[in-house]
Amino acid sequence: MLFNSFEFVFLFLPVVLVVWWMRGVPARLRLALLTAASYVFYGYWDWRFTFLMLASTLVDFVAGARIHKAGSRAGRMFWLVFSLVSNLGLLGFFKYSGFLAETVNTLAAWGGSPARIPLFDIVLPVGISFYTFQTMSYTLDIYRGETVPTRDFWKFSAYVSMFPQLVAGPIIRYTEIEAQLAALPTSPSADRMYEGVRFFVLGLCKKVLIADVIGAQIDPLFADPERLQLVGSWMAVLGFTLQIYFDFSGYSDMAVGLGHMMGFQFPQNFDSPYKSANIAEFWRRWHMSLSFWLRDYLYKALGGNRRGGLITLRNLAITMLLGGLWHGAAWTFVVWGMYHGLLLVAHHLLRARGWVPSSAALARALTLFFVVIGWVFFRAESLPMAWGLLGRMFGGFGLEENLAAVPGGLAFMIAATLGWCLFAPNTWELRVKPGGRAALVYASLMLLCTLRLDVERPFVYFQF
Amino acid sequence: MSQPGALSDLFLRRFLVSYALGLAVVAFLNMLVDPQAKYGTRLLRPLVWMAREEKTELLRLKKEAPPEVIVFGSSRAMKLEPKYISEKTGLRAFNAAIQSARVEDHLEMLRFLVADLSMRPKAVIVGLDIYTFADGSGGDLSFLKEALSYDHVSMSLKSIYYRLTAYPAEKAGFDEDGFLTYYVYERQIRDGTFQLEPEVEATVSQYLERWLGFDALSEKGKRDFERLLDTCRENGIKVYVYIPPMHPRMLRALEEGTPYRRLHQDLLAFLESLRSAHDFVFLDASRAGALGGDDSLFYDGVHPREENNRLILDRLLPRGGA
Repeated sequence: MLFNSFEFVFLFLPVVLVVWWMRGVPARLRLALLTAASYVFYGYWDWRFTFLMLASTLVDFVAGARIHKAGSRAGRMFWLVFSLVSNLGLLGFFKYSGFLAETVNTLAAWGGSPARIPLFDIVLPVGISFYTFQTMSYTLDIYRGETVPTRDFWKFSAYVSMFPQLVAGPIIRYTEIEAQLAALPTSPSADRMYEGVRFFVLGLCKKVLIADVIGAQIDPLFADPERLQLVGSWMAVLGFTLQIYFDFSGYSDMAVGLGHMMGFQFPQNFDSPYKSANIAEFWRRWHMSLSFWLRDYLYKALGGNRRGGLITLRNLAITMLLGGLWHGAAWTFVVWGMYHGLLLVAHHLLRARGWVPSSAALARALTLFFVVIGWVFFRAESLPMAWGLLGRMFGGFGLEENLAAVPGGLAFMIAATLGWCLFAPNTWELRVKPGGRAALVYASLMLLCTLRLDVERPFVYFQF
Repeated sequence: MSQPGALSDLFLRRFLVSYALGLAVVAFLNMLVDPQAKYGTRLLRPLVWMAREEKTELLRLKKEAPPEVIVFGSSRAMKLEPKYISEKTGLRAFNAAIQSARVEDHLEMLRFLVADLSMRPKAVIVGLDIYTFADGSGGDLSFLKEALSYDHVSMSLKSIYYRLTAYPAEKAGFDEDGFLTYYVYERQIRDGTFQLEPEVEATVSQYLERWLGFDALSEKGKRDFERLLDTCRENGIKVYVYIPPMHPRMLRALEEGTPYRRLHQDLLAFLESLRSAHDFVFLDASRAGALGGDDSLFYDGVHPREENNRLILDRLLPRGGA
């Protein structure tokens, strides 16, 4: 089920909120109901994948308890490895097996071998990358002694499956929500509800009124990139730069808003990333819950910056490469991850020598430029398409003879939304005093969004 | 000073009331104006083609000399010329294609012909658009989606505007054999002022959006198609099926931006699977160029001109009888 659908807005959400806030329902039953609602939400795509989520939940619930109970280091390690292998195995099978088989087959063909690994048409379960990372953080935190396992299965299953952030984050750690699950509010607070409506409506506007509108204009450009020249290719890539930001941050805002409506506080996932003055700052502002996950569970596990310059740079590069691969099983994502790894390494080296732009505006512009170039790999269907697009962006295929043919509406949207990203406060910074006038504005925005719900364009990040 | 939460409380109450009122006003406006002729209020003239109504009326008028070859399909089959079919087969022909048709519409039209009008055509030609097999149910809340869509609102407002000013001239109309004439496009083509590229670009955007979420041929569509073939067999009607062509730019966009390739293969496999139980002639005309057609002879990205359609009929129909 999509947040931007009639089924969600008019049926699922009202029913869930009414049931969630019913008086006198014991906390455990409420958590069980939240789990059930989340499974309905998830099963709306394909009910078979609910078993996968259930399996992942059971594995980590058991593994977490065993890690805590195990008397020896080897015992703790065994159950941690069991959890990681199970989660990464699921992810590997559903997300990476086809990619791996294709790569091996290509290499075999290059080597002249007729042997082929059979390719199966495996459907990627929505949100699998998100919830497996959540459950892994649970067992990893228990192993590190940063938290203790819960004995309440419903608490854990509600944490794993919680529908507002289930399919596209923010990736929440158990330690971030444990206390909230332990002390559920029993009645809704008007202030939290107001925040919920505010975040949800603004997120929906970002998705439906901006990202989808830009998406509808750039999809035809990406569908036939060989027609593009200098201006057209920049418009397509800049359009995508904005589409993905408004799409994904819109989803995160909606998730945060839904959390508020149910009395939960989810972490911020975007902090005006296109305002960043360097690439390291960009990663502290973009998809923050993933960046911090990778930092805490991968980069630091590799040694972080504790073992000297070269090792630090290696760790940065590996982390970003795997981060790229997390997004998708394709060489384009591998290159995108490597590219960002190289940017981080370069930033590290240049900063150490003091070679950073003195002008903040120039630093921001350069960072945005490099991020935009990176999006080419992220959006392209293949590496040849990415190289082709880059060639077009840098004039390799000439300038449009008829600039009037370049879609003016798209140029306006790009200018307006880029200005918003660079200069306006984000949803977390925006301070609007609640009251009657604000209600009219938000109701009008919600109405406008509702009129666009008939076109259910999935979120870009659902594919990951 | 107001109590904590009082402003939020006021916000929530006003928000819910304003939103509900806004929804009610929009739904009421759309139902009252009814620009898509869905609710039957008909206070204002509908802004959509009434192809189904017009063509069933035209067919009713043909009871004395019923058509012997019937064309089914979406708007993409509307330019298949009944006169050319008659020339080739010596049989009276009628184009019963209706816009945005799904397989169930073809089946319904056939049943209407056979059961209501007691007509027994000798042959049917089905323009089988892949999108014909999209699941058109719209989910459980389809009535809400229809009443509260942006397109519907903009059409309602346009309808009111036309009512207050003047309705624009009709862009297209049907001959008495159901054949479509595009008044504007065809005049522009005669004048040499027709510009294909912007029309193609407009359909590319429209179709990429329309194809969102279409990732499998509808099972209901497949069943309906089998029923269509069953009904034809029971009534001794010969069936000719073809996939209508698209402009190469449109085809490329769909191939790159949607699961078109897979769905095309699925449709071919589905039709192949029916061959053992049903007798029908099939032609995959999705690429006009492959038939020797001209890729520039389109009205837009998806509607082929008569010249390309004639090539399809040449390949599909035997000369001297269907």
